[in-house]
Amino acid sequence: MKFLLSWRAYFASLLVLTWLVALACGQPADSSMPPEEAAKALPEESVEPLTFEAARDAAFELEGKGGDDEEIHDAFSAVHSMRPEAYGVNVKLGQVCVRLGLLEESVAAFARAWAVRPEDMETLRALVTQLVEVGDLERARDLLQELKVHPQQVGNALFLEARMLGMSEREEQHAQAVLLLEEALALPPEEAVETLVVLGRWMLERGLFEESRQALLAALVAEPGDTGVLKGLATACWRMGLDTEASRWQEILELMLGLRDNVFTREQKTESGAANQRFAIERSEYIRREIEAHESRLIRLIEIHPAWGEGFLELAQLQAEGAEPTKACATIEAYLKYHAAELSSEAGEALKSSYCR
Amino acid sequence: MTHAAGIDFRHTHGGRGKKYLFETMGSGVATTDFNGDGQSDILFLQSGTLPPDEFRENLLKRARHATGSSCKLYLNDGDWSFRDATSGSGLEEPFYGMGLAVGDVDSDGDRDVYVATYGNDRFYTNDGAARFTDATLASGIRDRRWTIGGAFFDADNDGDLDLYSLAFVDMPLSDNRYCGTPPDLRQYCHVDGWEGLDDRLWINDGRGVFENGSQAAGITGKNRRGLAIVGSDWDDDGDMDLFVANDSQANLVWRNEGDATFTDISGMSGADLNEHGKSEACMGSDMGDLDGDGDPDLYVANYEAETNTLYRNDGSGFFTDVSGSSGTGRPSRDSLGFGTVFVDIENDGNLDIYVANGHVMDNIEESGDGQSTYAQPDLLLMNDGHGRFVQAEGGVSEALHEPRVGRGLARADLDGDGDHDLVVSNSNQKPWVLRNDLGGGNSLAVRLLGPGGRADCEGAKVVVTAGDRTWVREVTAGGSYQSHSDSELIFGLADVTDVDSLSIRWPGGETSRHGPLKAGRRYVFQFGGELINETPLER
Repeated sequence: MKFLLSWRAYFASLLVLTWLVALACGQPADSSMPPEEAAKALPEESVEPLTFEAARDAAFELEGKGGDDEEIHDAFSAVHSMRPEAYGVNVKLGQVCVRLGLLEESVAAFARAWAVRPEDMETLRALVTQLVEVGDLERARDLLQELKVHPQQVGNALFLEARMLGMSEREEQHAQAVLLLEEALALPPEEAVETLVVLGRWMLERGLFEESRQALLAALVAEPGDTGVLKGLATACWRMGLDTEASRWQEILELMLGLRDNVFTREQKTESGAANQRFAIERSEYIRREIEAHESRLIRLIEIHPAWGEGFLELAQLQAEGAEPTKACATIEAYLKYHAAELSSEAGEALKSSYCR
Repeated sequence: MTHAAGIDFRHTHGGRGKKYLFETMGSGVATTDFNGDGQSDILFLQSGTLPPDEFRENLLKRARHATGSSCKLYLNDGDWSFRDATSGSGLEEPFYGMGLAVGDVDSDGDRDVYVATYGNDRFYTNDGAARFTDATLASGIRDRRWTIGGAFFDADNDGDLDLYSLAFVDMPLSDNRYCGTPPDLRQYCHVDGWEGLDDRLWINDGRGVFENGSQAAGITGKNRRGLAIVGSDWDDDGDMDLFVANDSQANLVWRNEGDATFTDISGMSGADLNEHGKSEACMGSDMGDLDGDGDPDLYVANYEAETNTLYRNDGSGFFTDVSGSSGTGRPSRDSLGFGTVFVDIENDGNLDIYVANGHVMDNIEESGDGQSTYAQPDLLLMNDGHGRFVQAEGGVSEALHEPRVGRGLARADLDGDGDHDLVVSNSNQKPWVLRNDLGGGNSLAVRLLGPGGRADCEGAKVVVTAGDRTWVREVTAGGSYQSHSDSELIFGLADVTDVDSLSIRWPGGETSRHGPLKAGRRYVFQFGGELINETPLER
């Protein structure tokens, strides 16, 4: 039981933490009373540890079972009121608040959690994210600097910084956006992809078409099948008069749309059960109707956009299911030729052996 | 204010549990002056009836559809009083109405009506006193397909109105499929189960006789599911271009080449898909200058869980999705939008956006995620003047807090006080007739007569200048969903009392200049620019 503080010590630390949290949250802290003095005003008695633990465990269990978010929120709120500084409880409370759209409350919860574990960069990231969401950009900017010094968080920090760009309109933001783009381009694409997409769209809205194109081209390296990126690229190129390039992105985009479009996706239609209750087409009928068009779309796609590896695999599977093993094997061989560097040799061999028997 | 206005119309879709997809569509409404007394009247389309002479008896038996009443015409007697003038109007014939387009196709100074239906489309000519003659046969407009609505505009710049009609899907009455969970929870099928249809362009010979000019115009071969159309000269080259909103498919953007031919610039325009490169279930749309930069922007109402989309015009006919940064996206995410109009609610000089909401599935409460509802409050987005929007509080109007199943929507100054009022046709329910009491700013109303005696001047553009402020408005074609709004332009002027200048660019390119002018007045200009009437607004 050595990790358990005495109740008096517990409340003393609680007040210290509350003070820290108040600072972190920018809430009015009683600056006239240092935390150690304030601790003297603590009550002698509070919730029994076992009561707290039982409530905490029940809340975690409810969350683990995927319960209703309102109930999860109420459960963690109750536990939080018993022990306001409990780190894990605050993290969970912050997360459920995000899901419920209780943004101010999520900020407070993440701030309490981070005050307990200032080395926890994930919680700091969550805190800054919610500060951006509630529009408290000043506090978000301060904490971003802290986030940015941790190498694993550079990409996240850049993303948040890019998001903040769109939340206020100032002329100097154009220069800042260009600087951010340079930083993002220096990162591995997969770490910077969200930032690049946000920057690309931001620049597109403001007429920085070439910069937008650069950002989106870099994003496409990590996400070659992202229709939003393709749409942005087509738009930027049309605006710049790069009609040939624009037409290429537009064709890829439209082929992609033929494969998977809208909130009612093609995938849903091929499944049975609840998801396709509103679709009158059964899987067999759908495949019969669409298979030729689907195949020709994929063939054209991998021809003009071979960077999209998923297209090769989808085509090979379609060909194999359509009793065309030779074609399926050729498709896989083409995939391996183009995407060899992305696979281990074992994975490549396994793929080849399953399609080229 | 619906009851007080004397409006007793109630829409019916006629369904009795068989879940025919067309029951979900609702029907449109037109607000314009049909009897030439200078006041905007209201024409509600009705659905419900599948005419026995158009469908086979065994199919009608199977459909078990109720027989609905006809559409209703209410003439405006002033002082917010409307009189049911349906009887004897020639519009009593029941049909399964979808949408309408209104325009003076024979240039005789009154407004004629095209009706899109599930069945045979209709065309009615007006004798000037709101008495209509079924001229479908003589007009040459023959369409048995499922059409949704349309827009009258001058496609070939010859001075008369042509018609772009929107077609939906190829779903014969015999092809009603079962969707949902048998036996208890039958649902309306998703529209994706049926093939889309080509829209049509009907070319007018000047006398109200039309020929199908779709092939020559280059608009065939798309087979989309059109739900809304708006015409506007957004590239400012003197002819009307077209935006067609499609259901769960990429939108169509047609550039008018000025000679009744059109070029598909959907992808290049940027308005084919949203910023995520996805098509949306687009229902209603309108165009107008939302950000005060002088060119028309585009707003499209979409399905629930999709945000409505605001496309900003970058000045040369290129559109950029700015739904996120403009603040229009998030408030619309939890509702399913249909009718959409731009309207300056406060007369502060900034166009706001009104959207009629309502789900398509009447049992969504049982089959959905627990959050969705069939009836939904409407949405009003208030413009800060720079193209950024905030949602109006529910207390502003009963329609913003009392949920209904909104579909058709039109605007007009029904009480002549110089602000736009709204009419919403709600599916299987009573409509909303909403008097605007918030238009506190000064305003100026402009009505433009078209060439050759035409009642309206579709395609004209008006620029009003007062001090360092400039407002640009256009007589657009179509807009909203299934509906027609009066063509009078109302310029909200905030506290401006004197307008320095008003210039009108007429179809054909000529420009007339006027001014200075007083606010608080209604001006009527003959085609070419002669001021023929000036009256004070009834404030």
